[in-house]
Amino acid sequence: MRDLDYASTDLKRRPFRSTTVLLSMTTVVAFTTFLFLFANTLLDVTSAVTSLGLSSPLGVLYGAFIWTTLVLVLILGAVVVSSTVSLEMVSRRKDIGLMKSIGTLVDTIFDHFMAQAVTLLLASVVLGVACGTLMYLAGMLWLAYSIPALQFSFNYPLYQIGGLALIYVFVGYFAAQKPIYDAVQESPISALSPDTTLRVGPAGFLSGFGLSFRIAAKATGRRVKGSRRVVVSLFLSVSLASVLWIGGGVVENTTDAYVARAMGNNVVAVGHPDVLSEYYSAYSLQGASLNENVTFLNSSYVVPSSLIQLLANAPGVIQIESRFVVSTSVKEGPAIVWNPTLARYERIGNDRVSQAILVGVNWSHTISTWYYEGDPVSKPDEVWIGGKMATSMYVDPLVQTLQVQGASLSVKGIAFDILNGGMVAIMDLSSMLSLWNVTGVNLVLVQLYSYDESYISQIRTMASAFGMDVYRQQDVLLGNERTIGGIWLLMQPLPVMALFSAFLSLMYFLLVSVFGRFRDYIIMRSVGAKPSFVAKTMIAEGLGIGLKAGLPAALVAALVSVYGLIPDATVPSLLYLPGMIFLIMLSLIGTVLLASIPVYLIFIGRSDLRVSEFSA
Amino acid sequence: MPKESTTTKDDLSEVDTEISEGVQHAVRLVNVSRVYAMGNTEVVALSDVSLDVTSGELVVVSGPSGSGKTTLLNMIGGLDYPSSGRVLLMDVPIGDYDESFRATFRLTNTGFVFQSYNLISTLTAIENVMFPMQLSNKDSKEIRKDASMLLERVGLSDRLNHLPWQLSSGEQQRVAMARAMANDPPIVIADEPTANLDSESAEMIRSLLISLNNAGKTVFVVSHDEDITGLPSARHLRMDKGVLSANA
Repeated sequence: MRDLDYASTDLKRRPFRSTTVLLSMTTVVAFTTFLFLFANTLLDVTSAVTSLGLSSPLGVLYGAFIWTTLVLVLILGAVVVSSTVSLEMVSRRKDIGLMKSIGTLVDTIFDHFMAQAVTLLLASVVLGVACGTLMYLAGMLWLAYSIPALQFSFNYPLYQIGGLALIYVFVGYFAAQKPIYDAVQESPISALSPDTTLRVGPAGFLSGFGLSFRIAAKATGRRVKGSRRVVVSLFLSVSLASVLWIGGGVVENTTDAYVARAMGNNVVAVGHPDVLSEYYSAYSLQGASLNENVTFLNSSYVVPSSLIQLLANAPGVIQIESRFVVSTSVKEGPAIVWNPTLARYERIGNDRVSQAILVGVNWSHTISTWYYEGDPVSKPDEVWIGGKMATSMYVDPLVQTLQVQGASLSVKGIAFDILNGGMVAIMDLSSMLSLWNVTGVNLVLVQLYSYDESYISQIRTMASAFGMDVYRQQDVLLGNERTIGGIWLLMQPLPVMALFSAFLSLMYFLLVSVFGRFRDYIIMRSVGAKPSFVAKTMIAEGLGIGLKAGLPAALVAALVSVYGLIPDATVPSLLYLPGMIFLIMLSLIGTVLLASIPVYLIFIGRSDLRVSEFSA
Repeated sequence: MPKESTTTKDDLSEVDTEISEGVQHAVRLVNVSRVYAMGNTEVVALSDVSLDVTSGELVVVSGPSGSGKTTLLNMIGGLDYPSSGRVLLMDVPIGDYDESFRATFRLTNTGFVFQSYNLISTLTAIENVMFPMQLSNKDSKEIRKDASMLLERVGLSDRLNHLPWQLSSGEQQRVAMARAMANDPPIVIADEPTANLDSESAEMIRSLLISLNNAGKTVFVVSHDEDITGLPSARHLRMDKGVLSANA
């Protein structure tokens, strides 16, 4: 209790530093709380969109993306708490040395500083959770404004937030121990003569930019311990923002590419109006669910072969593809697998039944180039299934079968196709025609050199002569891409939050650094350094540490985004990655400038240029 | 205490011209008072102080602790603003200008030597001396050469690349002296420059201050060092309770 009394008195007598530390930790807790609550809402939103037709693999991708963000934010929070305490301890070395020199026990000093850290930590957690909840409410209002069609129910996850707060208290408690332990172990001789442990770093990589950068490089070298943790927390912040920006862009672009690869570009569909209407409603992310009464099986739906012949010779056509689509009941086929634990063969599969769309394609002449996991289809009795079907109907789809129309088809792969929300199977056209005992196809896809109205109107004229209609598939494709872009837009607050976290880390580092070297700055001014020089030095210090952490973070994020986040990743253009890295660096420089402003203003507000500052 | 006036390059060149045309008074204080607020209490550090120091004078101020000596130095060095009255350095009303101008003015016109040396802790001895020169945008090759010469003059040619903590107190104060001379300022201000030094180092600092004065610099020293307060060539002043008077 005595430790706590002394600790709280000490905190009150250092209001500026105490407030800064409290602000820094409160902000991290507030952002984590906000991200936790808001990311859960985003998951709900993506799930809601999923139920409208987004295929399961897409939902999983976005879900994993959001959860990765949350985990990174939690790690970031722990590092920020640790670096904040560490920087604080760097500034208290002399006090610790004095305490030890007058005979205070190491345990007493440790307890004193731990009591301070825990007091600040508890206050930060309470304030942070409160602020995070308020930010979440503001975010919900924004979301409700952005997507008026979605109905939100406000269920505050009290227990989860309580758990999060406990995690912070425990993580903060253990993160604070190491720097405090290290600081109290230092010998009083070196602690009371701080300069004797001064290690001036070599010329920094920005030293060529002038005197202020050279001074800043030497200053940063001095605070090796504090700087290291700040570099780590900045690295995490910038990595997080970069993964969200670069990775998010890659995920969005790749998802667009997956969708476009499955649907094909510049395609118009020819078929009976009923078939086209239902089929493309099932293909649109904003369309209605498939009507179970529609089977696509009607003799009037068959596209005449003479029309197909005409379409093949129409102007502007690259290729045409005949397909047979059916909405039908499908059943999970079992598989016999070896169980090494029990050392016996086992039957897997629950004989689940569901309604799905089956698409018959000519594998060697299809305009679709699906992204798939598994093997290519090479036999008539083999099939690919969609992501939703794989996750909702199968135990281990790649060893099981799909049972339809009395046939058992071997599942060779899981294809990414958003048709019918992923409740789809793709199989050999001729096998499918045999199974349903029909002779003609009910859908013809015509791929054009360009989406030229003259080409489309000629095709429409040909089709209408046979009682068929034309559907502009490209419009559905673009609509789907817009919907995916909309989901991505919802995630934009996350990288901004990560950058704000970087801003706070930088600001706190600069505050500690500048006020730790307050005397140096005052000396510089007393010998004639202008305020602008002091400001430049502060910015240079921020830039030095910011770029040291930010550049590798952006590069790592770029590599992770392209090679680790999503298979077959695509980027919008060759300039995307360098452009994004450049943009992130610009954002970082902006963050440094913004972080320097309050530090400079506080410095100017507190710096009385008096010789007495240096006396004694 | 920011000032409303701003400084342009023209202002600075005007001031430079004035200085080069010959200045009678290195320092002029006209009815200067400085009052600090300490909570609800007001502390009068300087009370209606007037002082004329001509160029090339050596002025020594002594007085008890808390008498206002350091505040007087702050005023003369352009580091502090008066609560009332006017401060003119080299005939320039320094109190009328903003901090940017004052910084440039200090850079070229004043050199400080502090009681506690006040070297920039992350810079080596030569870098500390080079620092004011670099701020003056001098030729970078010349800067290193000049800084080496200044350190050689104070007997530290073998300590150029040592950090402040690697130097003794006397050596640190000699680096501070070299830094004060870096831009060849017309005014050198020293606050108890020999207070913390051994007799040998103190003697060297005294000699340097006298040689600077002999070279035509205005030297303003606050000191209790009898070897300084007893200098026959100096004008002796005494501060007591914020009031400046000629030493009897």
